[in-house]
Amino acid sequence: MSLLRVSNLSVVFTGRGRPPLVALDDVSLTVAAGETLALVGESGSGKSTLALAIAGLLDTAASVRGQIDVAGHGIVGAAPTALQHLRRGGIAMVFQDPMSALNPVHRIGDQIAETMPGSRAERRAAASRLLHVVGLPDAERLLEAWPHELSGGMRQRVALAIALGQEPRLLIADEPTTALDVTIQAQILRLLADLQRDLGLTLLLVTHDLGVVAELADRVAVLYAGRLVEVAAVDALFSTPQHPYTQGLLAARPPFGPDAPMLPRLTEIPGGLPSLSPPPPGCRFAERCARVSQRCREDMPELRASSAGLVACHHPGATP
Amino acid sequence: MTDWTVSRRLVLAGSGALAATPAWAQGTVRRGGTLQVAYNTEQRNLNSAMVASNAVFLVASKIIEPLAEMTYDGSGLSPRLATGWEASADGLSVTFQLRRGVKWHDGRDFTSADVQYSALEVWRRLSNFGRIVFRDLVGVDTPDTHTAVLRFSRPTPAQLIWNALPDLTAVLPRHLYEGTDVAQNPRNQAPIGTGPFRLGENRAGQFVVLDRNPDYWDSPKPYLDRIVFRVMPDKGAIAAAHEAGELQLSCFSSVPLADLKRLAGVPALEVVNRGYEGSTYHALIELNLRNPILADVRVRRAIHHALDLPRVVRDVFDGHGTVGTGPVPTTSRLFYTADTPRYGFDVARANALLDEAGHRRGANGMRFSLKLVPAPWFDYTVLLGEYLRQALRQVGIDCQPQRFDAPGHLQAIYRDHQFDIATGSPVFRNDPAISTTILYRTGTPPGVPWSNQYGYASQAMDQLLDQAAGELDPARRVAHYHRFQQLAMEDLPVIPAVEFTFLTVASRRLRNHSNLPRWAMSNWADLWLDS
Amino acid sequence: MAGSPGTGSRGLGSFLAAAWPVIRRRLLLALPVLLLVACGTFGLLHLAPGDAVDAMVIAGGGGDAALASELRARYGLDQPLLVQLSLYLLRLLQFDFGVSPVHNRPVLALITERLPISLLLMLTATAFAVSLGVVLGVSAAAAAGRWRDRLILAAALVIYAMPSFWVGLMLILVFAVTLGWLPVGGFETAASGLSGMARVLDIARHLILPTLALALLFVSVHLRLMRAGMLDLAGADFVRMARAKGVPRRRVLWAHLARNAVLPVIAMVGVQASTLLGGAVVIESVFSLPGLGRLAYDSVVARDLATLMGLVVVSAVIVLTVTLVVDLVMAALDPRVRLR
Ligand SMILES: Nc1ncnc2c1ncn2[C@@H]1O[C@H](COP(=O)(O)OP(=O)(O)O)[C@@H](O)[C@H]1O
Ligand SMILES: [Mg+2]
Repeated sequence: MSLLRVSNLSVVFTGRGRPPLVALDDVSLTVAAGETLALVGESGSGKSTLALAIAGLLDTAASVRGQIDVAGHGIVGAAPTALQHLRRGGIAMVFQDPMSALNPVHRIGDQIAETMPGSRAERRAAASRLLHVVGLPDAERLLEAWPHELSGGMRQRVALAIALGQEPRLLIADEPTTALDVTIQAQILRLLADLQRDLGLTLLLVTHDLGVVAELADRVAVLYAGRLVEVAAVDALFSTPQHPYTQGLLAARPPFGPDAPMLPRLTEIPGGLPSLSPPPPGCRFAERCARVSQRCREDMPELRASSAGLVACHHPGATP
Repeated sequence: MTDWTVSRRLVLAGSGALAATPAWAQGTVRRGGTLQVAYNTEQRNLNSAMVASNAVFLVASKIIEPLAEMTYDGSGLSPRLATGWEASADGLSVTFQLRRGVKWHDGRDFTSADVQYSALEVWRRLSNFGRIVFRDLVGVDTPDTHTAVLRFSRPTPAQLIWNALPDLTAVLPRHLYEGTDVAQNPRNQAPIGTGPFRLGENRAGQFVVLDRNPDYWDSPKPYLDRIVFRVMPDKGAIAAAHEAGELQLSCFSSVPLADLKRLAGVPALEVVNRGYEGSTYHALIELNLRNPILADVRVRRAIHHALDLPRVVRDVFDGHGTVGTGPVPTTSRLFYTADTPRYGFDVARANALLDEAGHRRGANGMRFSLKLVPAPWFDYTVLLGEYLRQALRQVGIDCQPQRFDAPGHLQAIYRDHQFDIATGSPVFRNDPAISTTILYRTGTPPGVPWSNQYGYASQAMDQLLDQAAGELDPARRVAHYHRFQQLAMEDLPVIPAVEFTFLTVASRRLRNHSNLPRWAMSNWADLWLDS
Repeated sequence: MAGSPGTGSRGLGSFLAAAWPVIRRRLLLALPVLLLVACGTFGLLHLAPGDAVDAMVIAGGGGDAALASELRARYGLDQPLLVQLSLYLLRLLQFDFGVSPVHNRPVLALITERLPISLLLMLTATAFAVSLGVVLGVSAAAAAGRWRDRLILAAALVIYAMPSFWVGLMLILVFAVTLGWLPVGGFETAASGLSGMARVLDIARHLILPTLALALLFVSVHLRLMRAGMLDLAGADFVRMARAKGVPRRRVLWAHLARNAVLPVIAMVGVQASTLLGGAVVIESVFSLPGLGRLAYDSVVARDLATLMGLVVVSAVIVLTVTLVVDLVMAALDPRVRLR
């Protein structure tokens, strides 16, 4: 049974004096309970927008069409009070930059306990427990600490503690390790994996790090310029990527393992994202694609079943 | 003695000063009540025997009294602490009969010893103008407790003394001042006098309260129970307080010119320009004759011809003024003469005189350039400076204005002589010898404000003024001063452009106000508030 | 990573105890500043033409030369400048501000009798300006781009463009003259005989309009700073985080957004301490309040150097104190700020 279902979601940012920007275009997606779905794509492709849309956190400048269902509750157009319901036992979110995700003028303990139910003492005890859960010892002292007194890794753990405090079923983690040192990244990822397993969380993991994907994800969704271009099980995606963009991403991945050179191999896909206001009519990857045909420029490919999963390409298949 | 013409614009449109007359004339005086008065420029030293200035008199004149007060009627003087006065024929002494039964506010008796002390120690030594009038005072005899005889070393015109009585003869209590440094005496801040009101609470920066003196010699006056002078440095705020009904009186034009018309339209208020004839001001144009261009009398006359003074009266003074004709104002019927040279508005004549003096117009149409320093004393003196700049431009004189604040202006004009043309505002103090002839006589050292620092030196003028100063016969003395006015206008070292006095804003409930030529500086014993 | 986390205990007493060495060091540092200010003022004032005796002569309507030189000798104005300055500094070091030749009273007495009025006005005006600025700033930011926001911004602009004496006169015109609700000016009803609570209320009534007039000078600055801060932070992750964890909208707005956006506003109060003093000069004159500002204005006109010097020193002390207090408040409000 799917915990999260996104259907035909479009998000357009409209701002004064700027042309409307189509950040998400007709995105459909499901995530089963207990599953870990990785959402990948280069910066600016709309990952955060999708994450925020699901969490019901997009600001008023965004006009949203389509449906989002979390555990049977509609998110799009929901009243604030209805969303409020989902904040406990529903959706929780962890953000990319732990430096700015904590309120600098509130103490750690207060931030964790802020929306918890119960008496002051109960909430304090719960907060203290949560700090243990996310691997922070000396909780009693930490509860009194200020965010700026903590390192990045500690702050991300605190952010996780806050999220877990909501006892969520769906945890959205938007690039939770991007801003951290490599060694810390590994710790946080392990923690995420452990929590997901121990608590039976459904995890939507936003990342552009394919190494992370390989380690944690069950399935992968690839987003490009506001559209899903490929969705597949993690093994299938790594072994037989169908979309030229996915293939490019995999080729650009720095090699793993002890033999890896100090500097990553930079075989990045030439070019950049197309303008999204308005987006080009045909395939959005067309300008950067080696297999581009006239059809690609005129006719937008839809997501279709492929050998490994779903792909949106007129010329799918293995690398030639 | 002094004789009074009431100013042409007695009362502003709709004013009820005269209409109000019947109520008190019928003897229906209402006693009691508190009068709230604006106190625009707060004074710390309320010793009016030392400092004879408008702002000091406003408060102090209710507490400390002079020997006599000025009136509009024929004699010109009404008795206060003196009941009679006469001069010896040789001009060497004057005798005052003093009022009996007068008590100081602390209960002691007022006697001739107080007058003796005040005259010798304060008037002739410390008072800014008393030092001039009583310069030759050598002693005061007190044959009895209520007679004082002032003796002079040189003949002194009795006319001058009588004219100086209201301003310069405030009497201080000898028992509180003798043996102290008068200037430092704490009683200067908390004066004890014989007047109709006693000093009550005096809260610096906020208010001064005067309470009715129940033992006043002129019983049953005073009528008011209390006068509160409210310190209000902002003129706009005074206008507002009038409109809000928080004040019943403000004197000395202490509302902005711009608000006057509106206030005159408020039914509960009247705006009156009577009651200041005893201190008439001149808007004066001062010229620095050290500048060779201005040393030429033709240039000075040309400047006068270039000025449209009726227009200045209308536009700058809003009609509250009179075109000046000489150093003595029209309000002084005793000394004023209309028979002086005039320099009416005549641009062609001005141009001709300037050409004749050899100042041809240059390429830019200008003949020469002058440094113009307008005085900061009044809005009028500032605006007159602006008018001068425009008017003189028409005849090819370029004025470069430079402005100072008050102390800076004094230094620039009267000490350093750093000006070519300036505006000023001397006041006529009831006798030319007090503060008017000093504007024309030589011999005053630099640094004395409102004196001849103009580089004007005329033997004829000096002789005439000395002659007048020693003249004992009243009629001949007046004749000398007529000649003085004529010579002043012939030589024209300064231009007495416009005469002006102040305005009073009063509640229509206020009765008996503005009934003396120096009313704001009088004792207000007969003032009362209708219900 | 700075300091050891969680050492702070909650409570004003311990906060002040921790701040005391800082306060003491600041005060010591202020001394040379004060001396410099005193010397500078002395020099500047002597550049202005005319002296106290000129002003006295003006007040008296004239006088002869001998009188003026007698007065100059009496007040030591005839001595060389350097002698005057060193004498002054010497006395200042002994906390002796000298005697005002104009008022004929010790300068310290003049100042202390007016200080409470100015401090009260500055305090009420600051409190009012900050509260109104914060409330309006939050309200505008919450409606950013919509009519309420535009209305508030337009009003702020209009108020900002109006000279404060004019604002004062308008307030008088409306609330005192037309409506008759409040007094035109003054610190309290003259010779009212009131005491106790009745007098306090009387003073409060008199202070409403001047407080408003002085506060309006700063409200627009505060509200725009507040609004900008709010909008700046609206996209911050910690705000999203607060919403994500289910903090109610109002609390997000105040406890998270406003609580952070207010910090620059508080800092601005410190920056504007001297502007506040300057504004007080004008307002005190319009509302006939006998405070320091008016004393300063009168002293300039009267060339009362002794009083002016005393005022400059006291003003510097006030500004330094306000800065210190603001820094203390900032340190109390923002854990990232460390007192130095
Ligand atoms: N609040 C917003 N207003 C306008 N445009 C936005 C907003 N948030 C994101 N965008 C735009 O939407 C696109 C997708 O952004 P985002 O979802 O942040 O991408 P990603 O997380 O994949 O880097 C980008 O072009 C970005 O500039
Ligand atoms: Mg992102």
